[in-house]
Amino acid sequence: MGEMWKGLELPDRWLSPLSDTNTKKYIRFPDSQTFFCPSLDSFDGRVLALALEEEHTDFGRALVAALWFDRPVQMILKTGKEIMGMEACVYRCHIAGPLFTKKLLEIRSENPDHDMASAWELRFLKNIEVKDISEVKRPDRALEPEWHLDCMKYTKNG
Amino acid sequence: MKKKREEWEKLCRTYPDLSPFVLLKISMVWYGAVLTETALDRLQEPDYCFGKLEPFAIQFDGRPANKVMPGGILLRDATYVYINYGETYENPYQIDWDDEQGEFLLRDEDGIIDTVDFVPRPDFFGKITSKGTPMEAVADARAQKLIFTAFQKCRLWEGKDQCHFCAFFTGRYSLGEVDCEEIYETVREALKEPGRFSEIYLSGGTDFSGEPPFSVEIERYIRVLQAVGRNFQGRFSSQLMAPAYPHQALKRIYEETGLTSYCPNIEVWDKHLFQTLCPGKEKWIGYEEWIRRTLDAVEIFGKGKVCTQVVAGAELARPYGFKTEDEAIKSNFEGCEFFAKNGVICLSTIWRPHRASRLGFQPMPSLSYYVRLAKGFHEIRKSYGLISTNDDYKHCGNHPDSDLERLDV
Ligand code: SF4
Repeated sequence: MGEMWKGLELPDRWLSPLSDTNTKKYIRFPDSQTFFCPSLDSFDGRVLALALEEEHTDFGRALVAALWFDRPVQMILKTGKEIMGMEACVYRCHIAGPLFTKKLLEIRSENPDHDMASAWELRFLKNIEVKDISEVKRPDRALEPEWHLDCMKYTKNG
Repeated sequence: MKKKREEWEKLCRTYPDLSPFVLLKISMVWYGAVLTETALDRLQEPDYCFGKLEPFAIQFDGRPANKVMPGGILLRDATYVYINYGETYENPYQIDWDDEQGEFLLRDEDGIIDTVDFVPRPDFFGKITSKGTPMEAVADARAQKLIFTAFQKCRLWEGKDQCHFCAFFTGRYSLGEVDCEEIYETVREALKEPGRFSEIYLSGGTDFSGEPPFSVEIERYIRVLQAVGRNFQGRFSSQLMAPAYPHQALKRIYEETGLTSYCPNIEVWDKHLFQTLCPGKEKWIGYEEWIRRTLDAVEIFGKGKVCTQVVAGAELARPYGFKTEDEAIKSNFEGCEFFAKNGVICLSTIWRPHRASRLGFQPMPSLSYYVRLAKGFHEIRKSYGLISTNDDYKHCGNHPDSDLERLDV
């Protein structure tokens, strides 16, 4: 645990494709499950962060397993024909605090009806070569909705 | 003196399928933790500074008078660790603040184990209700849970019938009965912070007043839940931790409020030990009746929406407890299985002996006892298809066994 807590700087070449709205973003877990990951970004050039809509899902469980058992994941970006890959560690799960709020507000600014269960912080480990991106899936749905209470609050407008 | 890191790493090797974070949490609660002055100073700043007034106040002698104690600890996977700050521990972990990294560090005697964080200060702390009460005295907060204590004392203490492990309300500050309007206002204020809360938790000390007994308490909980509910449309994610009520009373609570989950805590599964360690619960309700009512509640709230917990370790406490950990484990697993079979989630929480309780300060069962218990409870419930969405790592954090559920469903 202790050895990895510092993480590495994200090389500059990642910053522009990460912020490009035309970039397609993916995360691949060690068992080859690959998910779309549109919320991936870096706000400070060091920390990578993604929003997890629901936890009790295949995507949620894969993130937990990667964090618990120190299993590096692959982050893949595709801009036009160019594919970039990195190995990253799943570093921290945020359920409150500044990074959590930042990701949540991002999600809600796109669609006020959207909610997010948790924000996940990843740290760059090394660049890798990725040849293809296949069998990408969207996360399955949680059995019970995972809403925050402020999404359920009563307003005069209904 | 035991080396904590070595011991924890050994546990990780022995239980490679269990979360290292949950194992670390068990170890941290077991050994305790102290904050360095630098860490405590950092925790006085606005992003972390918690309230001075704790609704479930427990008396601790070792707290610096001029500093506010922080919220719970969050490990890197957001596992919640509750530490009795100010307790005198023999061989505690240390939590320090690293200014250069901008992170809190968990250390043992040999160095850094990991980085940790704390529950951030909720925005409603520091605000006051229309009647002038600080909102931090009305509600407490965890990372995602908003906690109300409807009655900030327990009448079981009056006849010395309190649970033997309990030290609640031994601190100096208490509001007694809380005001519904203030609860409504505090919820309304808390909901202004985006995504901060996903469950409301209501509990309080036992109040057997009224005829039939507990009728005053039941009416109070209905009033409070209705006040909370004025902030929502329909049901809202919530849990009531209260005595085991008769079916009709529970039905009223369910139908007249937006409550979604109910938790009458058995505390100790063994019948004889329950009767000894929880004399007030035995006197006012009784062991068999407590269990019968708990099972009946599933008809109202649904499978997996009724919970109960054991204060794990109290069943081994001197002078009444089991003589061996194996006997205690067997009893606890039997209880967990019995409840699971009947759709009730039985959880374990780690007993921390406290000087202000009747059992006093005495040695806890071994660390491995708690690991076996967490693993066993998790496996038993899983085999019955139970998952604790109301008492998981996010909405409670007191139960290592439910922290382990994150890979299940
Ligand atoms: S019911 Fe028991 S555990 Fe709860 S506050 Fe009263 S004495 Fe303490």
